[in-house]
Order: sequence, then C-alpha cells, then structure tokens
Amino acid sequence: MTTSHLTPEVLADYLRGELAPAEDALALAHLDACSACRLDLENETALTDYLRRAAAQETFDLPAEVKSAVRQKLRAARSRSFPSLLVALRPAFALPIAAAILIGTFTFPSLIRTIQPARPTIDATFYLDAHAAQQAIEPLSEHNPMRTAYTERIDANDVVR
Amino acid sequence: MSFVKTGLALVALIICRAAASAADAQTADSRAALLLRESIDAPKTTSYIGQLQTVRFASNGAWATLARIEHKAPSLTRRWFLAPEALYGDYIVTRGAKTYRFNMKRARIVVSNDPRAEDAVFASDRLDLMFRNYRPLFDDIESTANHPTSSILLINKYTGERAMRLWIDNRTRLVLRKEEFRGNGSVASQTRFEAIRYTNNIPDDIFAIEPPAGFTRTEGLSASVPAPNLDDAIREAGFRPYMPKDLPQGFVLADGNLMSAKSIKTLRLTYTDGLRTVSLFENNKGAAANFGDLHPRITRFEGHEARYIEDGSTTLLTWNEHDLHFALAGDLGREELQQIAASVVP
Repeated sequence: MTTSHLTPEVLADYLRGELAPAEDALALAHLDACSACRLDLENETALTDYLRRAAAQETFDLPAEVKSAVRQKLRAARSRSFPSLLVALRPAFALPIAAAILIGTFTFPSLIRTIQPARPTIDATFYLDAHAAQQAIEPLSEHNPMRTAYTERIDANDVVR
Repeated sequence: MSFVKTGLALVALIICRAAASAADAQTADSRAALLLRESIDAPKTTSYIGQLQTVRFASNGAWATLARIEHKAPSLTRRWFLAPEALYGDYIVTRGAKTYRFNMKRARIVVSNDPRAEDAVFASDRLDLMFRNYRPLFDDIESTANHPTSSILLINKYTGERAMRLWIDNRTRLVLRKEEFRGNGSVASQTRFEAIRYTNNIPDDIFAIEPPAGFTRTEGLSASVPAPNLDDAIREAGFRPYMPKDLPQGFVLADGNLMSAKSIKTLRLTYTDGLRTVSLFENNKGAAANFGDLHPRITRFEGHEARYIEDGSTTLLTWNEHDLHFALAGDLGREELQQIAASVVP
C-alpha cells in the first residue's frame, strides 16, 4: 500500500469515475486506510455538489465559505508540489506539453525570423554603380562617351541621398 | 692623326644622333601629352553621330554593349542602346552635368547630377595628377573607324606597367578607341567606335528630356558629389572610419561623402592617381554586401575572409572588421586591393 496521499486530481478523477480500473482499486484501498484523504474526498464531494447546485440556481457569486474552501484547496495543492509535478508527467498533460515543445522547436526560429527585422544588406551593385559614377566624371572617362556600362544596374538600385 | 680625327668625328656623330633621337622621342611624348589634353576638350567643339561598342572583361565572362551616339557640341549627348537585348531601346541623355537615364521597360527616368562633370578646373587638376603618375608614350598612327588616329600608351611611372591605350583622332582630337589594362597586362575593357561621322546637322529634339506618359522620375547617384568638408561627412556618419595606410604609389585622397543605400548611411572615401580611382565604403549598421547573382569568390588576408568580384577593370572586395563593413571598389587587381584592405584594418 502506498503511503503518499492521493492528489486532488486523482481524487477528482476518482469522484468522477474516470480512473483506470487498477488505479481506481488502489485509490479505494488508500481511502479505506487514510482518514486525511477521506476528509479531502468528502470536501471535494461537498464542493462539487455545492457547485452543481449553485450552477443549477444560476448563482454566480460564490458564498464566502465556498471561496474559503477553494482557497484552502488551492493552498493544500500548492503545498503538495511534488505530487503536482508527477501529475504533469501524466499522459493527459505530458503529451500536449511535448507536442507544444516539438512544434515550438520547429516554428520558433522561423517565427523569430519573421518578427525580427532581417539583417540589412547593401547590394554589391550599389558599390559598383557608385564607383562607376565616380569614374564617369574623371577626365579620361568624360571625354569618352563610355559612362554607360552600368545603366541597368543603376536603375535597379534606387539610390538616393 | 687622321685616324684620330675620324674617330672623334664618328663619336660626335653618334652622340648627335642619340641626342636627336632622344629629342625626337621627347617631342613625340610631349605631343602625346598635348594630344591627351586636347582630347579632353574635343567634345566641346566637335559634333558627331556614331556607333560605339564596349566590352568589359570580367572574371566570369564578358559584358558587351552597343550604342548609337549622337553628340552635339558642346554638351548634348544621347546614347541609344542597340544591344544587348535587355538594354535595347533604353537611352541616356546627357545635358551638361545632368544625366537622364530612360529605362523604357520599367517606365522610369533616373536623373543624376554631378557638377564636376563640367568643371574645367577639376578636369585640369586630375590631368596634372595623372601626368605626375603616368608617362604618355606616342605609339603609332593607325586607322580607327576609317579615321587616322594616334595611338598613345599611358605607362605607370612606378611600376612600368601600361595602364591604358587611347586612339585619338588626328583631326578632331576625339578619342575613338580605348583599352584599359590590368596589372598583369591583360585587357580589362575595350571601347571603340565602329563608325563615326562628324556633322553639325543634329536636331535638338533628340535630346529632349520630357518623360513619356506614365514614366516615374527618381533621383540617381547625385550622392557622388563630395562633401564640402570631409570632417563633416565623417561626423555625420556617426562613427570613426578607418583609412588605408598603404596605397599604391601616386594615389591621394581625393574626396569623401556620405551616401545612403536603402537608408543605410555609408561613408565613401575616394582615392585616385589621376587615372585610376579607388572607392572605400564603410558602414557601421552591420550591412554586409549582398552579391545576389554576381557569384563572388572568396579570398583571405590578415585572418579575414573577404569576397570579391572582377568586373571589367573594376574589382570589388568586401569584408567586415570591428563591427564595420567595408567595401573597396577600384580600377586595380585583386592583389593590389587586398594590400590596401590589409592596411585599412588596424
């Protein structure tokens, strides 16, 4: 028989009959032997019943005692952090988390690339054109009507001051 | 005694002949220099219609254009491209310092303006610098496009390498053919008139610059105009530029300016020896050169990996250092540019 208490999630699943037969048998055996867990189960049952009744009456504002009970439950759950970690390893939680990590691994870098502005570049033709423009005004180029070699490149770069 | 006299007479004759030859050579070279100076001003007085072919020999192929040219002295020129097909129909009108490039396929006009293109003082200064670094050699009389021309070689005074060869029309002084050479002697580019006819009968309307309907007008490389003060350009750039400590002999810092390429401020420093120019570009915006489909080659110097392309007589070398991206474009070979680049980085 295990000595660790049943977690709120296991209790909730037990209450709803959602445990596998073997887990269900273990939980039942534990509840027979553990008064603390039985009390938790009773509180859980009372809370669930109350919520059902409140929902049926369309009561949206919870009474103070219910809020207090919820807070106590939350505090109790937080104090059992280790069992909570184990819960995270359950297939129902672990599989979606693993899938999210997997998807993130593949999509995050491209997402980053999308969000971040691309590293700027300067076309090599800009340098060639600027240099050609400089050459064009040199005397031995100017007297010679040859300042045209980069025409289409100059047009390809919207170079402005 | 008569034997001695005869010997002395022979020696004197040889000395005189040698002196005369030297004088002839000097006269020829002086004439070559004069022809070069006159060729600068020839388009201001001579109008013509011709067909011009240009071939630029690059490391990965050759690039050729064929254009029909109408020039009306002193300063109106239209170049209408016949080939390659990608340029066919495009034309360029030059009116003084302004150049209008008509791209018919993109329905666009790119307008550039550089007052230095018409600045006689600028041209004279550059020629003086060129003559300090290059020796003009009169080579031969040849026929180019059915016109008698004088062929002149420009030899680098420091390396002894030929840098350029020009064929100047004996009558009009126009340059009808030109070849530029790389340091290893290979031809980097060639320009020649296939045909030329001198005429003053050229209508003005072919130099019209009114855009056809639907054309957009954009500013071109007017940014090449240097800053009045280099320090101002550097201050505006917002970073401390690195300058080359080692330049080929004869090169001097000519000017500098701040350019903008797709909103990225780029400082440009221009060096020249009067014939060849080197442009050093620097930016601190992390903007590397994008070679696109130019297929750069990789080279290494001083622990740097650089990329380069050769395009005609121009080589472009790019690398980065200390958060700065550099580009060096020049009418020099890759090895010479690498030496300059190695002296740029601290």
